[in-house]
Amino acid sequence: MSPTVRARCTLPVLILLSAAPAARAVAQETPPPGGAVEGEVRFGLQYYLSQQQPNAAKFEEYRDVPNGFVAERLLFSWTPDQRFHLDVDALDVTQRDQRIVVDFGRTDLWRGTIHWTENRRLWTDDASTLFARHDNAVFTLEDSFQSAVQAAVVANVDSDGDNVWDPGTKGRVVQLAVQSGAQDVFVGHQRRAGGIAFEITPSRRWTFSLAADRDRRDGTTPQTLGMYFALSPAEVAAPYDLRTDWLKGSAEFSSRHANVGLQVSTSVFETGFNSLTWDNQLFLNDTATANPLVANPGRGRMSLWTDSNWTRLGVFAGFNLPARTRIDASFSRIETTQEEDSLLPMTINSLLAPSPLPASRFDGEHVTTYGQVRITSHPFKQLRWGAWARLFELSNHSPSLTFDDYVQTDYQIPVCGNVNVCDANGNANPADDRIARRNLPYDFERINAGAMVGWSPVSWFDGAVSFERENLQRDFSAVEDSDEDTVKLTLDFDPSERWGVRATLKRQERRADAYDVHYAEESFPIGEPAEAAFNEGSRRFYWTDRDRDAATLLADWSPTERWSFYAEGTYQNDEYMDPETGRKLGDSFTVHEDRNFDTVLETYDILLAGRTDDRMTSWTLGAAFTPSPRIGLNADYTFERWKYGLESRYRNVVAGVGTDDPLDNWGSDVTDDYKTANFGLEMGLTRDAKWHLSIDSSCSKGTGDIRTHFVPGGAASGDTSLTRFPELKTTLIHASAELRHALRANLDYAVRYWFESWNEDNFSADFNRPYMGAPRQDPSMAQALYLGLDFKDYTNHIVSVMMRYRY
Amino acid sequence: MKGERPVTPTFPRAARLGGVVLSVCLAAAIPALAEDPKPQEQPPAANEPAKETPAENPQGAYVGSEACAACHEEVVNGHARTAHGRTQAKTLSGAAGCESCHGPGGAHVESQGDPKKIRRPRLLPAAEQSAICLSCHERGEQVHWQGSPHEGRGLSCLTCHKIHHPADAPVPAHLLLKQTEFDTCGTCHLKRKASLMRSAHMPLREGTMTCSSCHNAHGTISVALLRQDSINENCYSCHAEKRAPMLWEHPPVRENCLTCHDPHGSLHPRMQIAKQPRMCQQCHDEARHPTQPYSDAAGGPEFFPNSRMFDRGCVNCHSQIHGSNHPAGMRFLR
Repeated sequence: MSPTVRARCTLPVLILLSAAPAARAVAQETPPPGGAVEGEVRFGLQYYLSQQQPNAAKFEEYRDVPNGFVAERLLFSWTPDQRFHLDVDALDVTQRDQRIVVDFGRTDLWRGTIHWTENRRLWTDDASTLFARHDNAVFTLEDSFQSAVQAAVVANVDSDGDNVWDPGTKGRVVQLAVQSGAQDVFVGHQRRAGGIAFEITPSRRWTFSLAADRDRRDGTTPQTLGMYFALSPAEVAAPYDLRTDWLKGSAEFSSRHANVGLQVSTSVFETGFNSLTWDNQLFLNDTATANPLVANPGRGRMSLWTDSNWTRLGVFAGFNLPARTRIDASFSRIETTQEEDSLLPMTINSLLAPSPLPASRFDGEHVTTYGQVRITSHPFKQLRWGAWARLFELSNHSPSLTFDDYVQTDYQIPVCGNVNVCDANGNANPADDRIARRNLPYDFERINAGAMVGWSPVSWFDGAVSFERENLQRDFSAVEDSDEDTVKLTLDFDPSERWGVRATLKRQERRADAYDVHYAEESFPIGEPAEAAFNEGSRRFYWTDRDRDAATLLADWSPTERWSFYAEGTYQNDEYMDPETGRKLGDSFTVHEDRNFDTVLETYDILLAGRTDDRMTSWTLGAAFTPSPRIGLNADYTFERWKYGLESRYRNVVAGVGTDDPLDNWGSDVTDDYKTANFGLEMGLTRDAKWHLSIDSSCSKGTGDIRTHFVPGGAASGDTSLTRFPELKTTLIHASAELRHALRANLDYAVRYWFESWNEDNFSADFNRPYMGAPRQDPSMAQALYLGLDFKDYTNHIVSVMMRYRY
Repeated sequence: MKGERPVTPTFPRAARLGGVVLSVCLAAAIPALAEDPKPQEQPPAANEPAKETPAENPQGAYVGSEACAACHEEVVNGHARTAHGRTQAKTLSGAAGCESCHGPGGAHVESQGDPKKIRRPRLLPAAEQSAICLSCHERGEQVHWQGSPHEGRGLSCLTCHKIHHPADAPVPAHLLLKQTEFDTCGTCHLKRKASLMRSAHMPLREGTMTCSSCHNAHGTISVALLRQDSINENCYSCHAEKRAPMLWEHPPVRENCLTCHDPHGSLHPRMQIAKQPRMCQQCHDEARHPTQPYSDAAGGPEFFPNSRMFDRGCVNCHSQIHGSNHPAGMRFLR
């Protein structure tokens, strides 16, 4: 047993030992008036009967399920007098997913709360790497390995077709190194969060509270790394050290007529690692090329998370007025600032010499403002109405910096390449106009205003209709101004306690004033030829015009005391349209436009690409049956389906023009289905309730299907083998049964059986392995170094015997 | 090309709305605060019956909880274990104990327990049920109940909470009607209950989170009963690493986490709403990045993914997709 585990075990054991005698003594006596100790302890032994995949990471993705002693729960409540209380609720205290809450205080005067939560986050069952980790998130490869890869001239050739790269190729060197030298590495982290809160109510009018919380996460997390394009991609178990602290205070005044409150919160986030440096498997050192603006890097460096401060000031007020009318108003302002001391250099490639950075640090700042006013009224029993206005604004106060020489992936300083667009120095040489980039401080403002009126002419019916308009304004966006109108109708029928129906119908129409595909050009101070061409057909679904129809229905029916049936159905359908032409996404149309900026219009067909439509449907049917007071059964089944159409426009833009054959375009119809069934049984086996059986089970299946299609006659760039994506399937089956036997009124034990099985058929994850560059795959992966992340399927049978003692 | 970004004042439209909010607050506050009866500051002791006469209330006079216990001993004993049973506070009408919610018990006692002569909250219309609770609890978490979606659909406090629990069993947290919060919410939100079983999910199933980690069912100032001011602020409350202003922002990330993630669970890793690379391609055309699922496995039965399709798809290289602070991170590669 490790010291950590011993320490974890010590606390609960001490608690149990100290609580038990006192509890016994108290339990044997009638609790004194106004004072008592009560609670329960649950502990026992738990064993895996069999495991298809021992300690499967997916099974323990967020939890710790040990083999052996389990201190499942401690409930402890102490009320020494009528006014004071101390409650402890501790779960799984010997484990790495423990949760403890201590609540204490003097009734009607003050209350304190201490909470502590731990949980793990596992990313994979196995992972291995060639990289060695050093301090400050530096990952290195053996020099000899890098040299060998660099010395190999050919990347990937399998001349004899034996599915093994030929000797002397880079792919062969990498493959052999992974097979012989990769070391196992843990990819996961532990979260520890805790806090203390104190609330005092000196009079019934006033409440003051103060809370402090902290959240720590440390371990590793998968981090993919791209050197340049896909020639030497890599992945490492990056160090993960996130620290967040919160301090919150509030004051509230409440009376029969009004509530007024003030909230102040502040938070500091710090990361132990703000950048990551790693070796390039293709080059030992930075290596020059014939082009002075291109040099192969021996190392790459990327930024990770950044430190930040966050402060929120909020006020709210609510007033009860005559005619059962209430006005609520709230206003808050959040300021978030980035707290990194300095910007990283543009590159660590010693052979590239970009212009100096425009600033030594990035003083990023967001100011979020939120305000709301709402009035609701029930002037008559039959009538209610309400109106509201909300504003949410993200104001980006960050500077917009211009980087004169943008460096791409520590590899090159790209040039414009089209004198028609950017000939900054006027020498008509497209090879020396270095691309400059400017960051765009994106922000937006959302305003909602609406009203509702509800009518309940009879006690069993209530209907309401509402209208809301949302206006959204953005900076640096293809759509800078859009409105969305929502009309909603709700119909609730409650004719008796035995049945009820609730229905909601909704219609939303979102319209943008324009769609500017050139918006991203603002990021190119001297211009750039390909950006607009990349975006010209794209219509992003969260910006486009959209019509949405939605309906939900919830019904329950209890024909007898024994039977109850319930059902829920939802439907939502979205259609996306181009704000410029009104055409539905997925349509093609002909445009005349100067595409290469030579002042001559070109004529071409353009596909409106993006999500064309989506439809979400779900329904649930369930029943509960209580044949006797001792027996209860319930079962339900839920089916969910999300379908969306997607059209993709393949572009290979070079200097503003490129292959623009509409036959390259392709699309897909995606269907994600979820089927979930639940069953539960509660049964008292004997009249004296000493034996009790509980069964809880569920089965959930998810499938993802992507069917692809070209346009009629399509054959992208001569390759006609567009295939259907393999179907993705996940299945989770959970079943647990508990047989509980009461030995005494305050002592019982339970024998439990827990079955859980998860399996996934996921083509994109199932192939993950540290070396993925074998022949017949994407040739660009021949030199790739990955971790090989994959959750393995598991089937677990677990039995346990748990004692429960109430005192 | 557009012009330079206009300078935004610190409090643009927000300041105007804030002014309106404060004006409304002040205007309503003065009379509202003035009307509050002072004597309630110091209520009489809990064991003293309130001085209300039968003439004032058809339920008769207050008789105190001890009178209730004479017939309802089990209920009173169970109730005594809860915070309601411990409180000494009185309602604004001066009632305490059982009569805080059930009203004066005088007529009920005099009639030898006639159930029609005592207020039985569960039989009242939803709004009246809630009004009883709100007479004390219209504060803190419950301050925005009126006008909330649940209130609008005719729910009451008793839809989810049960005030009386047996004396011999643990009292559910927050006096919930069901043993767990998830069971309580899952009574109506059946689709959400099912989504908990999805492959990629928040740790609700494991108990680390609950519905109320993100939502306040009693009503909030935000959309979807979210606890924070916006969807993103809700996510940042745990994922604080994603909140920092970035040199290179990814607009959909900053605007709404739900553009790409489904927090209630998904078939796809990291709770993404769609499969890679199609998720990114909903917004991004394929330029230099052909991602058609061509199969190179002409001679084999297996499907071999290419580098843009496996695992994180586009994010294999564009790994800093939530935003980058690297000067060369415009395409989220650094």
